[in-house]
Amino acid sequence: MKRALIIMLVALVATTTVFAQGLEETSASFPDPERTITIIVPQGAGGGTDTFARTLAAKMTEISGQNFIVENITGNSTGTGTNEVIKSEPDGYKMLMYGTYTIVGTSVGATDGASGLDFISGLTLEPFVIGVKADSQWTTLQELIDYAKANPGQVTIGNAGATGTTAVVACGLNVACGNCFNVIPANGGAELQAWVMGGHCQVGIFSQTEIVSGIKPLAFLGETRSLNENLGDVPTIVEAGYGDLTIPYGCFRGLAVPKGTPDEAKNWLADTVKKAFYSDEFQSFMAKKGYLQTFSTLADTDAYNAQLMADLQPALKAAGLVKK
Amino acid sequence: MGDFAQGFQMVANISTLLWCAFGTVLGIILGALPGLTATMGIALVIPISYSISNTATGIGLLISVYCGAVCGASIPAILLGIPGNPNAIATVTDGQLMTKKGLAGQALGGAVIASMIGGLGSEILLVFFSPLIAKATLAFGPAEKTTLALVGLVIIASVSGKDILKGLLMGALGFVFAFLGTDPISGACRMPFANALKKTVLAGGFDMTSTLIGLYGVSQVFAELANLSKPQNTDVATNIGKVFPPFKKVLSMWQIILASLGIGTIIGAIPGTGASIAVFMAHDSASKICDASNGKLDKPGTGCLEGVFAPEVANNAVTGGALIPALSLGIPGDSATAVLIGALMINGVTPGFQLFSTNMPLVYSIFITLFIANVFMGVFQLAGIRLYPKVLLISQRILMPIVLILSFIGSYALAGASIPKGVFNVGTALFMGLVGYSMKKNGYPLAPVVLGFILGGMFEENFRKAVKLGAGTMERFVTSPICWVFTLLAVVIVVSSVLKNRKEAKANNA
Amino acid sequence: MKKIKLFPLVMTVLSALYTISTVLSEDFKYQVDTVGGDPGGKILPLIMGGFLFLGFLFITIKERPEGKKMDKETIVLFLVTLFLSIAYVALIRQIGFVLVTSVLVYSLLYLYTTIGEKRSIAQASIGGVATLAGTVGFYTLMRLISKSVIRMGRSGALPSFFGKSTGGACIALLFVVIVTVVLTFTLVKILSKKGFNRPAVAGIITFATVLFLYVVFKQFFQVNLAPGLIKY
Repeated sequence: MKRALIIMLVALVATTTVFAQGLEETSASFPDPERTITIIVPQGAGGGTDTFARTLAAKMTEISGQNFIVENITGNSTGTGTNEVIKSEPDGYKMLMYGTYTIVGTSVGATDGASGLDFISGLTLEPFVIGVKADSQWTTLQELIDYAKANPGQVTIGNAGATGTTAVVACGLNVACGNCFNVIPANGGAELQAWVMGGHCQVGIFSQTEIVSGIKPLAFLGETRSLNENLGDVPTIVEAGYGDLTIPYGCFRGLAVPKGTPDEAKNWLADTVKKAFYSDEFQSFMAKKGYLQTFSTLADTDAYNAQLMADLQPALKAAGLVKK
Repeated sequence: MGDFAQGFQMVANISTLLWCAFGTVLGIILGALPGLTATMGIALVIPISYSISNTATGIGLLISVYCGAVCGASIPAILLGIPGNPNAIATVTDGQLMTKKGLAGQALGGAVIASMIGGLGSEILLVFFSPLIAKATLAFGPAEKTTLALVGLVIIASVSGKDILKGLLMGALGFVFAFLGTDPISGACRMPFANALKKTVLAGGFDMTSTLIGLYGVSQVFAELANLSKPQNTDVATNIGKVFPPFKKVLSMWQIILASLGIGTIIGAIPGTGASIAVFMAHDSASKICDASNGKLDKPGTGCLEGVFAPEVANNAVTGGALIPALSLGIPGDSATAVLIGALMINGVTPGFQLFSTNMPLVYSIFITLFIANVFMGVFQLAGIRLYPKVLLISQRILMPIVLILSFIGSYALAGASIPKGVFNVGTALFMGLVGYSMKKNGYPLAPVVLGFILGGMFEENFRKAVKLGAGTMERFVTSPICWVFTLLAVVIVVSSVLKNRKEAKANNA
Repeated sequence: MKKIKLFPLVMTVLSALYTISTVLSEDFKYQVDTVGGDPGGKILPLIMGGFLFLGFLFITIKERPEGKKMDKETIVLFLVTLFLSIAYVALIRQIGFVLVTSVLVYSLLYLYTTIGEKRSIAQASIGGVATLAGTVGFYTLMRLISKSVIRMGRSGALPSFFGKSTGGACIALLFVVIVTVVLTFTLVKILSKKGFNRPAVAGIITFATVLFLYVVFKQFFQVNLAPGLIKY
């Protein structure tokens, strides 16, 4: 009996080693067809960043035949998801949907941010929109700011979260207007929509897709008019007469992998992203939703991000988001 | 009517039915496996829905997964005592007690019937009163949500059992569990040793579903150890019993059904609340209705159909409810509908009021697929209903290790791609399991911890936001009629349960 | 000196520590404008911490333990289950899902099914090693098959359905079911006759549970189960 068992064990171990070698051999070159490439979105499912990532992932899967999926790892000012990528194996199978929010997360000390990452590509810049309730008394940004200055502390302005990009915008706007607003963080864009539509909070900083029929857009925070089909007639902040306000006007998004990922993987990924990004379907998706294109790859994205981080510093200070 | 016909045409084909069937079955499986949630299920099938050329069919697939997952969660809750996701949290107590009484079949069958009633009932509300309810939910700002949480919190008083102090202490413990993690307003890390921990996975605080799995599933394994050495008795389980609850019985519960339907739909429609609150409120309102029925109905909490029906009607009513603001305002009512809205956008549909004015056929097709999904959900889950209780034929000695590993892997799976977070979730489940075990052992009630945990965070966050909106004053509470009504309701609930306790104490002494 | 109850005592100490650490921590007021008005994130934790401390202190003083104790067998079961669970949490990341889960499930199954019987350490460990080796071996075989199926699906040798990860997962599930059934009716039956009943049953259940969980959670639903030592 015992002998039979021992023989079986030996046989099993032997076959296992042979198979294991076979398996490891097949996974030598990047990418291994059976492995899934995960894009970590450090924000909640259903939001603008998530929708963008999922559309891109679907296109990348279609183009490369490799399976790309999106995972949402939320929490700790996007630090949890970012740290997850930074600490993961640098093999190219895990990417981060990097964004302006990552810079904020780095600033508050929730993550090491860009210093632990290598960039694959820069993708888009999505300008925000200042919106109020549809039947609100204000019809232009000027009216709103004049009213707020005349009644300091009376006008409430909401953002999608204390450590999100919209918070930086809201706080920047508040400082630029001489501290006349009451700034309040909501728990995500959806809650902010409900607050503004329900009249609980008077002004909100929204992303373009969050402007629904109950919300009246006052100003578009881009340099030129929005490409979004519904927002084409919203005046830009320059047209509204506040071109000199130095506030960040949008959320940058890009893809990054952990530092130390081999060049082979990075190049393959950058190439795939490029193909997906310039596909007709994805281009029309971005045009419809009004995403501005800021495509760059690898080292170029590094430079872009460094500039962005430097530009954001004053606004981050105003928002109280710089680690002491 | 032309719009309806057009909408009907969009989904009146075999492929829609097949995809809905596939989605429902997938949803039930997802729901029945601890740790796999409706949100995750919808996210998983988005690529499939994207590749289906007919938009209405793709949306039907997503909605089917959503409905199936909510219904499927009742299976492990009733049979094994593991709440697979927060939807089933209030079903556990009565479901487990019914199983122990040998009524597992009826509990499962009742849960399916209740889910169908909840799903279809809330759909009726969705179809006919959507704009009205959507407007009403917009009146819920931070101040109103604070008082809503208060109404939920006073339920602690009525689920505390004999010793009210212990119940309150456990409620406070739930609050503390909810506080550990990120500060809801400033986003800073709020816990002991924050500076050392803020870059680790602990900074996110305890995951809610892992906590529930630990408190109920893992603690049950430890508690069961003492019974393992006794001779194993499987007589109870071999008799599955009737699957369909008697029709008369269901009819007699009409008040409970209507109340739970209303609670589920409304709570589901308020963004940022969720099923876990709705099911507890429904369960509590069911006990109030039973008290008033002069003994015609059995009291929830004693292992009766009423206690399974109320939360199961409510949690499926949440699905219809959550779709109300999603479709008519473009605001998601819960995390699953948030993914659904994202998926709709990927499919080229922008939800919101424009949808109703510009693309009514598509809206009708969504309503029709929701109806199909609810019917399929009932049919498919009933089809297997004689099969599931076979699990109980397995000896506890073999079942307990499997329950333990399912609880662990379920918590782990909630983190998705993140291994460190997954490990932290398993740790959470084990820790909460030990907490739950110690509580059971020392006679402390479990439900208040869960209520405190779910509502504590909501209460604090909204209270602080309401005060901040009022620039440091309580003005928002004073000027809102909804706040007055809810506060009054909370007071009434507390007073009535105190009076009831007194009466019972007197009756016991006499 | 009178005996006191452990649970309320521990809770009293913990809530005191929590309250003190809350007092010492920084405030969490949201201060980015001149309006202010956020009551801060310390008030409620302080109230709850203080209430927990006073409440549990009261119970600690008032209640006395009743003389109910666990019997020896239950204590052993409890301690082993606790120890293995802690080890599971501590090691899953380094060692990996397949190995730690096998050890946990096998050990618990063997322990629980032999309650009231004489346990043989030698028999249990031979069974354990065999279970581990068998699980890893068939796991490797399963992965090899599902990988090849996906490859063939992509190259066109099989219908394109098999080129997707779901296709590979279906084959893997089929494989697990077949192997489990075959092993149950051959190996387990033979071993049971030879007096190896308990470890054989524990082993086959462990094998089926581990591989089934792997296929469902990892291959179908893309949960990233920690690979640990088994890198492929």
